[in-house]
Amino acid sequence: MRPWLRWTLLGIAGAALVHVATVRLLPRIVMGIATAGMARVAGFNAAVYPPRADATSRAIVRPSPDLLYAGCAFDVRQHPLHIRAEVPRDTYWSLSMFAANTDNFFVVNDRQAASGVVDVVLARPGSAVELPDGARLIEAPTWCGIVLTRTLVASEQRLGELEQARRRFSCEPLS
Amino acid sequence: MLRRILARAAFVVVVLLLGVGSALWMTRQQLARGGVENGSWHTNEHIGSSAAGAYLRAGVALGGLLALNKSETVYFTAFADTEGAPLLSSCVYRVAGRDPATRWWSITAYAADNYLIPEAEGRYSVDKARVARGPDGSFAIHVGGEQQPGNWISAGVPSRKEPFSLTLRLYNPDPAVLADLARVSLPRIVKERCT
Repeated sequence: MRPWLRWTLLGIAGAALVHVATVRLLPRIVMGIATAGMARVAGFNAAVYPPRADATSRAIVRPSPDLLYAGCAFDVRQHPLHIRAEVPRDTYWSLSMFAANTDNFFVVNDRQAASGVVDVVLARPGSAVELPDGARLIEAPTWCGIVLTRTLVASEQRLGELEQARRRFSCEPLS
Repeated sequence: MLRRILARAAFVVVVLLLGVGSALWMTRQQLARGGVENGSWHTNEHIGSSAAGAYLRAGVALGGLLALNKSETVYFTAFADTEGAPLLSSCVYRVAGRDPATRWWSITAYAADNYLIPEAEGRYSVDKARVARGPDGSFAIHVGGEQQPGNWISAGVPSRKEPFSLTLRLYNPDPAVLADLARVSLPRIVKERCT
């Protein structure tokens, strides 16, 4: 085989491998950066209450300025995670969980949480977990990821009340 | 000897640039052109889902991290107007229509880096609760760098001619929306003028 042809074929094969590796690794790299960024604020398995999104916000791409977010970076290798949240009334609210590959593996919204409280335990599949009374078990497909609540601020007059409800979101290891 | 080392180093750099560059280009196309097309708007029914393919998952990571799955929220994104021309801060657009069939919706402008566009009054978005409507319930929102009366979303500085995009969020969409994402009625993005 002629040298130029050999190098061309080698280059195409190499670029194709790099292409596939980039596409496959990108979600975990970006999610890892976001998870680490959230953990820098309060550590893993602890709640964070970021300020309302504006043009200076750089934590997550395409943030919604109409929502209040709360969340935590989770790591369930050592202990399951106990997550509790108060559901505000008469506005959109959701609690969602994202795996290390960006998949949204769990979501519950205010209409589905009729009791006004969400109480869940996040654990690795197959873990022996003693659930607190009233709590629901969720299995995490990956050992780390992000839990996020979204609260719609449909009226600025309700901001104070919704902020208080947001602060009642908690994330703590279940010992 | 040195020449051979430099040639091989250059070869490796070119291979890396080609591989990473092509991956990023194809990934970015996922939000701009991939999936379901509805007028100027694009979405993908597998956003946030475990059924998402590798390119979509990478695209979401870059341009929509922590997106909810479609049962909770559908995200439509537009990078162009109804004529197919890129959205630019030097133009004024009229985004008009009726309420999509969903519990709540919002339209938000984002800069090319996928973050909110700096604006003194924080006019980043218009939503179902705050939009001003006509007597028949329809609405028209002006989007652009030049401030307009009524419903208005800032899209940056007109003189910079910066590209931007719009995201239409449909929270708790009606089943009819999920059944036909390509044909559900969405606001049209019509360019009015450019400076």
